[in-house]
Amino acid sequence: MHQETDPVRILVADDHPILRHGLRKLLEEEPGFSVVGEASDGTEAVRLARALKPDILLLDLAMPRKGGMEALRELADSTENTRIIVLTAAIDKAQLVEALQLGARGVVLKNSATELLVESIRAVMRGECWVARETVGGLVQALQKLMPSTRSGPRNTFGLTPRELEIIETIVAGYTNKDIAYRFSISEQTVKHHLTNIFDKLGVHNRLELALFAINHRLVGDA
Amino acid sequence: MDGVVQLADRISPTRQAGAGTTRAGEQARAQRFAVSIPLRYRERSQQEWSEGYTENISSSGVLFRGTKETAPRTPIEMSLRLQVNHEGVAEVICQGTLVRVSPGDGAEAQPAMAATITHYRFVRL
Repeated sequence: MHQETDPVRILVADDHPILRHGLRKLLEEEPGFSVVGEASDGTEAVRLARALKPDILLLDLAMPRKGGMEALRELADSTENTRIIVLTAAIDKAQLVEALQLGARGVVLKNSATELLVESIRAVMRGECWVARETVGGLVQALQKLMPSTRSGPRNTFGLTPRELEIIETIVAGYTNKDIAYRFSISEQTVKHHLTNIFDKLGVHNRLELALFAINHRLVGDA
Repeated sequence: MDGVVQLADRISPTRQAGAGTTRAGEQARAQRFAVSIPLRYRERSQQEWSEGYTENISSSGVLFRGTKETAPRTPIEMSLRLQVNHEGVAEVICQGTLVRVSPGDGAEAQPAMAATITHYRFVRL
């Protein structure tokens, strides 16, 4: 756990070495900051974040091998003491919302003034969230678009039975018919029978369309 | 004719075990959904993935925004991550071809790309 007197330990993840080295130099000139590592891609960022347990991870989104969003997703549940600030050249509304949903504590654009980056780190260390002013526009609309569940009523289950809803969950999770049969201790023929009924009820034609329908109509998940 | 197609549709998905081919006939009927799903994509000849997210998608095509603009008519591979339920996470690996590319504008910095989906398979993660 970070104490106020301890230096803020920072991990920088960006695929451009010049930017990483520049950031290291810049941050280490700030009193109370210490750069403990550099990662050149998302895979390395995940590995170093888990190994070094920095206070702050400055995470670029566009990196090779594993992008920043994927790294963020992987780190979401496993780095409780590391606060992640997305440092990116550009971010759209959906990415911004997703990053915040995944637990990012800050979003800073690379064209921001140095002072803003420093201030964002200090704010996040104080327990605040920091979102670049340029990215806030449309955030509310994006949240409304992406999270319709908060304003809509009970989900429509389209006349599906509880077993059919369970089978849809497994389809979205990538189970094969054989897997589903094993999972529910039924025959593959019964799985096919259920799927035929599901397809008829929802008017879908294949598994991918069924999965997309299920996601779009909140037939799966916490709804 | 409709009856024949209905029958084929009904048989086809249950015959598949997590994979599929989108037939030409399906493209006219496929339901399109305005859902934002994280995706990765790459030219089929390349190793490196780029990241993006869907703007809308059907089982035969997808409109997405991504970090790397790719030329129309490029065969691409896309990976959709379905992360929505307690049964786990699945990846849908799709093969297709880019058909249209529009540069990003002021509101959306990333280019928009439309691609067909000709084949797909589900992978449990």
